[in-house]
Amino acid sequence: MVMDGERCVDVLSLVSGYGRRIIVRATARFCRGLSCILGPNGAGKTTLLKTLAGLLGPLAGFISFEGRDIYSYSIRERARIVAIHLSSIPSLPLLKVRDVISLGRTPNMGLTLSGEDIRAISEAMKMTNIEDLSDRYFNQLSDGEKRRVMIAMTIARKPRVLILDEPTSFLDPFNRYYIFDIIRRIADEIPVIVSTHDIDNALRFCDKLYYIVDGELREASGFREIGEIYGNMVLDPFTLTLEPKLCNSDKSIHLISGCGTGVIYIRKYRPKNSITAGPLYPNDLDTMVLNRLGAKIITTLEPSPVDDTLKMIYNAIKLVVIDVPSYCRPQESITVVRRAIEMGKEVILIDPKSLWLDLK
Amino acid sequence: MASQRILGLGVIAAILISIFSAIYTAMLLNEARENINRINNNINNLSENILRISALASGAISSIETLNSSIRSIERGISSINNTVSSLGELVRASTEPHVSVKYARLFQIAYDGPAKIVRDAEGQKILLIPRTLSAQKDIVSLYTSRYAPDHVIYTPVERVILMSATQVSMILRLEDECRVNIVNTSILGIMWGKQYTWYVPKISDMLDKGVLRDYGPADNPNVEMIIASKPDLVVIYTYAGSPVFRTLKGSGLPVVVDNEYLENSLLGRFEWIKFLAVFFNLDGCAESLFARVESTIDGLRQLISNRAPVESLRPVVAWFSVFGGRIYASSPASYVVDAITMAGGRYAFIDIPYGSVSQELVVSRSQYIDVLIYSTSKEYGPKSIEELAKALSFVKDIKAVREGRVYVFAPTYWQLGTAYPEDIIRDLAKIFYPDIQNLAGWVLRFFEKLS
Amino acid sequence: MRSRIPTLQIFVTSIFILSILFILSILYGPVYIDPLRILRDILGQNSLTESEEVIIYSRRIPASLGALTSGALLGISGLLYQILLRNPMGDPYILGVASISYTSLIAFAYIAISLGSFFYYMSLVAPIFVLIIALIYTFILSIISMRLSILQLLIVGVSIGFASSGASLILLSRLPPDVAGYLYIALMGSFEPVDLRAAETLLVSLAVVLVASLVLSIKHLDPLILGDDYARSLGVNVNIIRLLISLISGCSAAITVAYVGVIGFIGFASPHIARILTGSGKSIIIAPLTCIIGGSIALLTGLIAKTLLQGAPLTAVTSLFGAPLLIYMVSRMRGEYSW
Repeated sequence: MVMDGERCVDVLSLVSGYGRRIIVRATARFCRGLSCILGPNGAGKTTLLKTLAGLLGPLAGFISFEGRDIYSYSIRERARIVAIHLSSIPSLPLLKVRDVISLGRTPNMGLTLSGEDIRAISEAMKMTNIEDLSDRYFNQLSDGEKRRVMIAMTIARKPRVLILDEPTSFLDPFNRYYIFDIIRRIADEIPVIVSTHDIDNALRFCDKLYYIVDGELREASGFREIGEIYGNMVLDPFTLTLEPKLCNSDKSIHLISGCGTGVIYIRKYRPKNSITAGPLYPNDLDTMVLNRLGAKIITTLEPSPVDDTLKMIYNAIKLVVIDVPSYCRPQESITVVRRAIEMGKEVILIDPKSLWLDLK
Repeated sequence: MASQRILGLGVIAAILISIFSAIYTAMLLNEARENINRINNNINNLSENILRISALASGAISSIETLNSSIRSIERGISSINNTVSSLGELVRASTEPHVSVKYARLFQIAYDGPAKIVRDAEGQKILLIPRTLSAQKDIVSLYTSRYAPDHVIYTPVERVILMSATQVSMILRLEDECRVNIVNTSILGIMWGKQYTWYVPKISDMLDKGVLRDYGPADNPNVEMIIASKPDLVVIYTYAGSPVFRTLKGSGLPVVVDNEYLENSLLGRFEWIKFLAVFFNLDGCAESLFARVESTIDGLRQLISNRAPVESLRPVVAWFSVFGGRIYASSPASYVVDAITMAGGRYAFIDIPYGSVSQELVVSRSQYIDVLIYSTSKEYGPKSIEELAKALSFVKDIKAVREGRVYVFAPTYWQLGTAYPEDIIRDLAKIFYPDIQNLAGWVLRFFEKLS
Repeated sequence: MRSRIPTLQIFVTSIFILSILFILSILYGPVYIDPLRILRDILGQNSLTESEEVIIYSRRIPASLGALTSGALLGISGLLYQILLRNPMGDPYILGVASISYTSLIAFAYIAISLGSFFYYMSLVAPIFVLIIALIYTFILSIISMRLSILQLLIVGVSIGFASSGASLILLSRLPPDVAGYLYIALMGSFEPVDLRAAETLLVSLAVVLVASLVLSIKHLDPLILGDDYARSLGVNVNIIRLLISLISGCSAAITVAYVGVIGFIGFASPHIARILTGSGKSIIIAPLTCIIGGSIALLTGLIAKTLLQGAPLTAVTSLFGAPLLIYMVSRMRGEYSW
């Protein structure tokens, strides 16, 4: 990502809100590339984006682009610079898709659509893959199609800064990926600022991650921060999912798993007990993830894995054994199981297929 | 075989015996039935006798009662004979009063029955009028009441009257004049005026100002409580389709009669309602002779006019309308206006057009034929000069009457007094149509004004 | 899917129908004049009598122009209110212009009576007075509209409408009965009072309104449908545009009320008919087509009212004939026409 000083959006001590109410403060620099803003509902993402787009005057601070305060531009000039895409999809009776997208050319066009306008429109339609919808009525499209049309309208404007407020809400996973793909491509040219709840796509596509907490915009430096934004969650970088932290209770369950089946088991059964697991290979997915989630793990790196594991099992109420192939678990796990049975612990055997897993 | 024969004989004997016993039993039963019947008859006779005895007894009782009431009514009869003798004089007088006959008006009727009068008003109510002096004669009153089942019983002459419209007031005033009696001062309580218009009769506006005549509120929403509190013996109103006043007043038990002279189609029909009002004041004869006089005056005028203009073509074409908001409000061909125009020797310009269909185009197309234009408002709400009229209504400026200056409007007293002086209306119109007509040389227009 | 009739064809056909109706409106009226003679006279040959000339040139032609222009103005006014309020029920009188005009007319009657020249003032001055009051009201409402949300504007306008209707009833009840009787039907629409001067004024107003609307519809009207935020983002100064729309539509309504009274249905229906015919929502197409359709409806109903149903109030005729037509059109559109 090239830090091009001239073409960045500089946000300086911005205070954004309505009337007397301060919603969010921010100081940041958005340059070419995709910047994503995460945060729980009501944190102020929409307010911030509207202020950045020039729709809501700041209570204090400055937003400058190319060295000029964007609020010093007239409405018309500003419309040519920054475009915003909102999360709500309006109802547009009797307008065809083509008409809607050409609305996007309003700031640029003269009396009628020029050749440049038409080119911009068809490029936008090609990029969002809606060329075959061109002649249909907007209100009769599906949500995903409508969303693509609205994005096409915003893209057709050929702005120098693009801002999108939750562009993937109400979309199916395919469309969500698709939309991010499109804006990623645009972000190659201009600063693009997106707010979203779509964690996995944000993690896939964004160059920089920000979040708003307690009315402050902060840049995320690690996965841990992000998980904490959303309450007691943990962001797992490997599976790109937000998992709730494991509970802390005196009754624990011990897992004999491997190849990531432990994580899947926990997702499916969401146990209310604390979890212990092992022995596991140190590079197993279960090791990496369960650890982050707050489980106690014994790996084969320990000096005496079996004894340590048995100590943990002693305090557990039951043992859950997932029947994984032999390459997923160390030898020691068989010993542990046998000794646990001798101890008289309840042992439950789970077939990976019941976890919708197809392991060879 | 002997045994067989004995058996056979035995069987025959048995059969015979059973037959005989059956017959005998039947005879016994019959006798028993006859006895029972005889006993029933006796019982019936007994109960009949009992009934007869009780009937005789109640008959005796009622005879005694009748005797009692007869004695009482004889006592009453003696006292009423005294009254009857005194009212005999009344009876004689009443039955020699001249009667009112209704010739032109279609919305009311008057009938006479001895001393009583039965009036049917414009809402179809039957009103029984009985001379005040006979009001004490309960049996005479009840005789008439049961015979006619009227909506109201009113004792004449009335003494506490409330009127609604200015035309009713003007008719009363004319009666006063004609019959040389005092009605307004003595018998009229007040008017439903509501300050909705100005009075052009100084006597009345004076009395209203001083409170001598009470103001009972506007005609479309009168002060009902005030009316009830005044205990009138006659309330004269007019009604129109959908007017709730009639129902309200009648429902409050007030003696309401409906005078809708404005709905009559003929000039004299409207004026004839003066007879309707007169009978309540026992001025029947006076009203009848007044009407006859006016009728003959008008006849005389018509004769005069037909001498002056014996042929249709000599009669002027007259337009009679007002304009508001671009819409023309012209009289219906069946209205009293057309009747008056025709009687005065004119021809109504729109006699062939159904009511409500006179358009500006139509007026323009007949412009050159209209000899006289009567603009049907007074100067208060209408044009003050021909110039003003032509400027405001561009389509009238080409009318022959307008170009020749033969344009007239109502005088302020037209609405309030015009109905009561139809002969003057005819005189006015005749003078307007034939300015040179001899006998009216000195006549000054009373209900119309010429626009300058 | 129905095949769409090309827009150009719709325009040409509707202009053609408009012209035919205009000509018919001149040729026919309550008084029968041979149409051929009328045509010949218009084309230069003197074939009409003097009074017939007065009828045709001083009455029918101005009245027909009045019908055409007021129908067009009402259509535009309805269209603009529908855009401004984002409400398909919008019509020229929705924010109270008609009620205010009516009340001011009645108030003026009082003034005229007290000045002693009732007839003069009511005939010549009243329309101007009503127009001025209606325009003032429109200005005030437009300026307020900049600070209010759409819903607030609707509530304020409709409430004022109700309030002034109530006031007019009270004022009416205190007038002498014969005057009040006339005023009851005074504002019921009619093209009769339109004379040459009035027709000129209406024409000029229509020209101004049409040009202003067309200028606005190029770039400023359609983005409004996306919502205030998108519109602003696209460079539309929403407050100013709302002020302008409110002014244009209010003035159009006020002018028509002052000259031809209250005629319902045209303002509401013409934009919908235009949209259904073209299948498009683009203002630059709908605005002029609405004018043509509005003018046509006005001419047609005026024609029916003056020849077949003499004396019927225009509003009654427009609604009676227009409503089934609109219902029929909507039923043929079915799912496509959603708001």
